[in-house]
Amino acid sequence: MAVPNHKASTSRIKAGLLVGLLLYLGSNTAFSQARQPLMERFESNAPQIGELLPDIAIHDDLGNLVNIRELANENYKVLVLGCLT
Amino acid sequence: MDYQPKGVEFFYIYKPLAHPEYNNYVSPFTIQERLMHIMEAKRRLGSSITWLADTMDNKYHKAMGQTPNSELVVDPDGVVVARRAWSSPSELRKDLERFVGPVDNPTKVSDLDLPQQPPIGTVAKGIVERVERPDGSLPMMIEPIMETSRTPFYAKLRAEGTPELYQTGRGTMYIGFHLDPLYRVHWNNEAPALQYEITAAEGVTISPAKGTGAHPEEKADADPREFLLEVDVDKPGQDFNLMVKYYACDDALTFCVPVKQEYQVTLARDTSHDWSITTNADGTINRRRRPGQGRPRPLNQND
Repeated sequence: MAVPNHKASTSRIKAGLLVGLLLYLGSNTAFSQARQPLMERFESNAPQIGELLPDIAIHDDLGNLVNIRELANENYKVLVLGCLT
Repeated sequence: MDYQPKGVEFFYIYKPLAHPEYNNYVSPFTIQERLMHIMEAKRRLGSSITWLADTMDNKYHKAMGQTPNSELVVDPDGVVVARRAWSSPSELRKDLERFVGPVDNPTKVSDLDLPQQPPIGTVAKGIVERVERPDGSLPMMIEPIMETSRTPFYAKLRAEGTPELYQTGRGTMYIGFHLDPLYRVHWNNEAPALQYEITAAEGVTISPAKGTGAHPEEKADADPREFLLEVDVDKPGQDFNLMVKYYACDDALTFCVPVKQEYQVTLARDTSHDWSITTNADGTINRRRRPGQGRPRPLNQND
């Protein structure tokens, strides 16, 4: 009757975990690197803290143009960019 | 939700698609089509947030450094008080606690129970084999010539070029005609297949200059019609005219129409798009990434 080799199977599990960890770290590093140019563009283009919103007109959901400085003038507001994809 | 009673207004600003073809969505050509995307986003997410649409020349997107998911918090005087390149619901909550005050019993996303609707279904896909785009292909500048068409652009051109094409004027160009799911149309395969024809000035060689798309036996399908062309020009940045003819029917079969449309294509990189992806037949993203590509982050309800 074969005796299970616990030491060998523990080593295999450890090796598998290590490979998984390295793949996870690698994918996150690649993700961060891909984002880096976007972060830099945001830093250099987007308004800084303490600056006014840019003087830009965009469309409401009926197609009318509205200046973003005039949105919810009396209140705090949150502007988030996004799309369906 | 927690902060609306405290007077905070939330605006979601619709920008160019970050990942065209994801769930079969294609980039809109007109502001009316961008507003149709907003209607679709409202339908799918069931969110009551106020949506706005960036202009078609993407003024707001450019002002944010063309980041796909930036976030600003602005005070009542219109001054930016918090900013981040990538929206973060947890960080945003901290900002609002700081500026407006904490809320009792903060709402979790799971508390909202918003109905997530599936993307628009299409007629059969996966019938026509996809064309493999060369590695590293990047979006090319295209301009639909709206006045040449009596109908909406049911099928929309996507053009891409290899990096060497943009650098040297010689390389491979991908052109694909993708049906816009928001129009709920399909190819009418009982009529002649899609045809394209390129007209270019002297010094611009594109081969083949004419082509005919796939013509499957099925009466209808919604797969893109795609081509790979070889380009050789004196210098990069020149443009040419691309004419396309096809037959489209709406999915409810209330109309079938012949369509003829034209584009001006410039052999230059379109920098308004950051991503170049391929999708599977069901509209999901093909995970085989290309150099420089990151992880797609579709719009979600956490924002």
